[in-house]
Parts: sequence; C-alpha cells; structure tokens
Amino acid sequence: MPACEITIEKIDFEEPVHIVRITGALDAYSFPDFEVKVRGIFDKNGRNIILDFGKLEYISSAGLGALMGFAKIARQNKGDLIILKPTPKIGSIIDVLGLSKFIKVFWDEKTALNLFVSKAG
Amino acid sequence: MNISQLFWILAALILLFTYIRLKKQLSSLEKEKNSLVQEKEVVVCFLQDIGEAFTEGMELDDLLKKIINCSINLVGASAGAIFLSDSQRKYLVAKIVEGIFPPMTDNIGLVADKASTKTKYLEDILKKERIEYGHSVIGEAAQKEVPILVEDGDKDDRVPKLKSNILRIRTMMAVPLKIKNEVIGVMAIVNKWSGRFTSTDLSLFNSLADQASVSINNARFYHALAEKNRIDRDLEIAKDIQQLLIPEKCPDFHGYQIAAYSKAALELGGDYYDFINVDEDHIGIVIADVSGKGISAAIVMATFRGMLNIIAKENKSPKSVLSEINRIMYDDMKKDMFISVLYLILNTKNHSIVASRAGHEPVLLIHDQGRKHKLIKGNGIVIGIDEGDIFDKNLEEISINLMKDDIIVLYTDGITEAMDMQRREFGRENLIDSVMVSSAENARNIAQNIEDRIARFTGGVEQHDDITLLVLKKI
Repeated sequence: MPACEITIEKIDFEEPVHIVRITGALDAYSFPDFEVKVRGIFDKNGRNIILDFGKLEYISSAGLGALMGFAKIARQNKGDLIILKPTPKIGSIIDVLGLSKFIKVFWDEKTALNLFVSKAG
Repeated sequence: MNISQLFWILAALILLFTYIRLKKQLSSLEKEKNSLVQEKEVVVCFLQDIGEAFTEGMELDDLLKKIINCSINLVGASAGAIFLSDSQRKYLVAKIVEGIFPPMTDNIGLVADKASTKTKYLEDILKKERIEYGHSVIGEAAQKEVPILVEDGDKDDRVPKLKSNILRIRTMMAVPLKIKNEVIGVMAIVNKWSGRFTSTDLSLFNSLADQASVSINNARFYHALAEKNRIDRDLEIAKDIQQLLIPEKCPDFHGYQIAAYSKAALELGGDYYDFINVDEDHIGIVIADVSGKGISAAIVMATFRGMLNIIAKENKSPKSVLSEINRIMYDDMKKDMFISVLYLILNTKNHSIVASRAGHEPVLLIHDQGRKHKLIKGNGIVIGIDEGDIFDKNLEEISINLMKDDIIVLYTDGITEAMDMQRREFGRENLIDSVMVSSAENARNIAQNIEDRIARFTGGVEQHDDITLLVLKKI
C-alpha cells in the first residue's frame, strides 16, 4: 500500500474552511491518523471541511464508513463536508454506494470554496 | 658498616617494601573480588525478583515499578525513575517514578514555590516533562549511550540546583536501557542513603539496567504475543459466526441452476449471501457486504440476516423489505458502519425478478445466449447511514424478465477489486468476459470459471477482501 500523508490548510473566511489533503491510501493503518486530524478540526469548532481526494489512491470500506460519520457530525454542527477531485475509481465507489446523496462532490477547488462563501453571504 | 652489611640491609628493605606492596595489592584485589561477588549476588537476586514478577504475567508498568524499586534498594538510593524514549528517539518521558525524584528541566521555579514535599505532585510534574536527547544527565545518557555518574551534584552543571533541600540532588546516576543496541530509555537514581555514589555503584547499577532491558524486552514480546492470541481468538469466533450465516448449500428450484462461491480473506470481512422462501412462488436472493472487518462486522451481519428472514417472509417488495430493515438497524449501527445490499425476488412462475440495490454492486445480466450483457443499476444507498427519508426516496425497484439461458451474476467488490502483483484490479470487464465465454456451461461451471480466472489473475497474491459470487441460470 502506498504510504499516507495528510496535511491541513485553513482558509480564513468569515467562517473558516479547512482543506484536508490526503495522499496515498486510507486504510486500516492510516485511518487512525486521519480520524484524529479531522476530529481535531471539529474539536476546535471547525465545521466546514473540504477533503481533497485528488491524490488519494485507495480508501477502504471502513474508511468510507468513518467518512459518513464525519459528514453527519458536520451536518449536526450546521456545517458541511465536501469531497474534492476524487479519482475516477474512488468517485465510482462513492457513486455505487450512493454516498453522493449525502456528501457533495466537487471537481474544482474554487467552486468548492465558493459554496462556503455563498453560504456565509 | 662495611659494603656487604649495607647490601643486606638494602636487600631486606626492598623485600619488605615489595611484601607490603604485594600485600596491599592482594587486599585490593580481594576487595574487588568481594565487590564483584556481591554485585553478582545482587544481580542474581534482582533477576530472581524480576523473573518472579514476570512469570506472574505482570503489566509492563508494574514490571518497571518492580525494576526501579529493586534498583533503589540494592544500590541504596532514596529515589529512582525510568524514562522511556519516544518512537523518534528525540525525547524521554518519565514512565515510573518512585520516591522524591526532582524534575530534570526548567520546571524548577514552579516546583520550588509549591509544597515540594508532595511526592505525587512531583511525580506528576516529572511525568509531564519532555527531556530532550542530550539535555540534562538523563538526555545525555540516552544520546551518548553511556552510564553517567554524578558524584557531587552541587558541582555538576547538568544537575538542576533547587532551593528546597529535599529536592537537592547530592549525587545521582543514569544508565541507558538498551534493546538490541537501541536505546529505549534511561534508568536513574538519586541521593545515596549515606555518602555519594561511586564507580562501584555505577557498575552495579549498569548491570541491573542490562538485566532490566532484557526483562522489558521480554515483557513487550509477551504482551505482543498475548495481544496476537486475543486477536486470533476474536477472528476464530467471527469466522464461526460467518460460517453459520452462509447457507450450507444452494437450494434447488425448478427451471433454474444456482451456484455460489464465497471465500473469506485472511482478515475477516463481512460478506453474506442467502436464499429466503418468500412464499410458494417467490424466492428471495440476497447478497450483502458490511463495511469494516472483524467481530463487529460479523455481528452486524448476523443481525441483518435475522431481520431479513423475518421481514422478507410474504413480502414481495424488495424496496419495502430493505426500507424497513434500514429504519430498524439505523439506530443500532455505529456511525462509521454500513451495509451494501442487493436483494432480488424471483417469481419462479412467470420468471420475473424485482430487485433493489442498496448501494451494492449492480446486477450483471448476460442474455441473448451469452452474446449480450447488461449492468442493471437502479438507484439506492447503503443501509445504516440515513435514518429513513433519504434512503426511501432514493431506493428504486427494478424489474428483469428472464428468458431461457439468461444468466444473473451477483457479486461483492472483493471480486472486481481482486489485485495482482502490480496492484491492478481484476475489474468488471474481466468478470463480464469470464461469464460470457462460459455462458453455455451450467451455473456451477460458470462460477468455477470466474473463480479460476481470478486465481490466475492474482497469481497467488493474498486477497485483502472477502470474495462472494452467486450465479443464477434459467434453463
């Protein structure tokens, strides 16, 4: 499995947006780190999260389950969780499972960020 | 006095001097021998103590406590601590503290102002300290990988100077704990009961540290083994549950052939398939996959199976069956779990199928005597992530009419995602092709052909997910 790297970028809108960029594979080994980092955002009252999947090569089904858990938390906190640029493979998994009915998927960072700007406005 | 007399006097003096010197040497050797024998006895005694503790199946913390207590008593110190390295080997943190062990870094001011005699308070302070490699006596012992003796703490810059007399370090020793030449921590003791620590004490303390390292290594190994055994047991239980869920053999029903194949991955997953007698003319066929692995996945699957067997009876709408199960199971499922399900109801009289797909892989239909294929999707989302409204709104029912020789293939993603050495996936195209080339065969042989093709493709690479396949052929 390719190693996993996770970085977080904070965009200081009126309501801050956190972009979590993930490279490699989200599997049983890398998931705890991902979970801790995303929970860290929620713990600091962050509720708008963009998950950049542009360089994500693999995600396990347990990983997708946890992702749904995060989407629920974001929604409970009146925020949003968005997936950005999934690879065709991961995009098709999201589609087959029907997860796109719950999580918005964007292919362009600017459009994704605009969603939060227009929300704030 | 003549020359001869002088010679004899000188000779006698030299002999006397040599005798005294040899006597002194002998006495010093005797002392050294005694001290070594004593050290050996102490180490043996220490080993016995630790050995006993270890066979009692002690936790690592308790073992470390025992080690430091034995060391304090055997060397005659007033306090001691064991510091363990972080995984990067950049800093050390006190894991066990016994007695009044003063802080090693800059918390000094803070401590001196407080009621510094409170052992628990000091212990908490010490346990919060991150001692960098190379800093203080502790960090230096870790970085240089050598035992350090501070005979006179008042004259040594590496030792913190505290106002409070009770926190004064008059003398101390620190030795690295090494496993296979790698430093895993540092053991340190402060303030001798009487006088100062000597090089003999250091030698003894170092021997104790060597033995302690071996014990720590053994304890870690023992715990890793115990953890592995626990996981293996869990896995066995989960595998037993899974075996109970899957039907022993496929049912026979007139006008159809049916074959199934299921292989669990080494790490247990949550694949499941089953057949349900809905009523006289209707048979329910289900294939499902629980996200996640292990015992929790197996339990969710067992719950799903139980519910399906109750709700599916007499109910000819797959959508209503899945909707009801979703509403009931939603509350009981963990937030990060879901089940993908494909549920078909086959009317054995008019040969039609009604199916609903709750986020599962689509139905593969091979028709027109094996010449054409179709992936029948229909909307739907997995069970367990929505309490009902969105789930119901998105779930469709699809109808399929079966003609003679039509083949229906149901599968889990373990089939299409089976990987070869280069991490390429088997994929849907290969699956479709496998069915089409063997479409003239019976259902058993079609399933066997898919199984063989996957085995050839993966070339012995360990499968990472469960593989489940159902082939239904109308004859």
